[in-house]
Amino acid sequence: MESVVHILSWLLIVGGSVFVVVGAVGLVRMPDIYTRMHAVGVSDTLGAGLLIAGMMLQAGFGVVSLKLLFLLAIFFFSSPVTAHALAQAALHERIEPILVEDRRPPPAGGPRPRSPAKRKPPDARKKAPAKAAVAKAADARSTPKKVETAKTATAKTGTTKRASAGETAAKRGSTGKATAKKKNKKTGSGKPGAGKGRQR
Amino acid sequence: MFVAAIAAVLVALVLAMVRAIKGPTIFDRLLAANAIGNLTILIVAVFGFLTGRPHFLDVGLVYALLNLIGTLAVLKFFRHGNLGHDARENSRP
Repeated sequence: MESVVHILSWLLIVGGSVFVVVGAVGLVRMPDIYTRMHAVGVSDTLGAGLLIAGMMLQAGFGVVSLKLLFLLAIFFFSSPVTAHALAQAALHERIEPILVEDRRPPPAGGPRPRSPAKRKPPDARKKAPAKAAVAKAADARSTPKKVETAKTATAKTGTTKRASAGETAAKRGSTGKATAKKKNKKTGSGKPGAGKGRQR
Repeated sequence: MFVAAIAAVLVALVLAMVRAIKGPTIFDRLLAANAIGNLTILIVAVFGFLTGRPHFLDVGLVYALLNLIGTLAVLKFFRHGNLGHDARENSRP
């Protein structure tokens, strides 16, 4: 019986350690503040939770276990509060999240979806998309030019849903350009006001 | 077992310190500071168990409360520019 509890607490503590390291790696490698908060949430909830649960199994039933329970409760309440306040403060400072269309390589000669001066792409994005960019460039060379223009038209509209719809339209070929333009007209100025409308 | 947990938390601390040093915005640094505080609580608790003296947990509890209050205070400072209310908020019921 004792050894069962021991092995279980061993498993819990090792699992918690793994989650803590995973959350910290995410904190370094994620591209912007909101995704980094998502990564820190892993180590705050599952990492700390598993570690404390393992220590509770080691401590047995008593005052020490109660203190660990209080610690767990503090983590449980303080982590969402901090994340909420941090996200709201970041939005208040007009730091905008990176969307799907921002991660695409910019079209040659076309306008960027948003101003690149505001967000400096951190180093985490340098490594991984390098291969993807080469693959996409090769892909763009083989496809006709109309598809490329349709993609840039949809990139302006703003939301990821429309962008993915635009991709399917672009796959259809030259007719995709017309539908993409129509969508663009319908949404109007989706690009400049998107960030301002979101923060209130 | 506790040594492995302490090693993992130390690695996480170093990674969070990297983000705190090179974070592009102030909020990245603040997030990293909060993460460092949480990891410090964990390391204090695990170290108490490693040395067989779980009284370190009291230190961890106090540090958890201080971490929450410190992060919220700094966030409020950057949001409103000060830590108090302005005159309009005070006149309201």
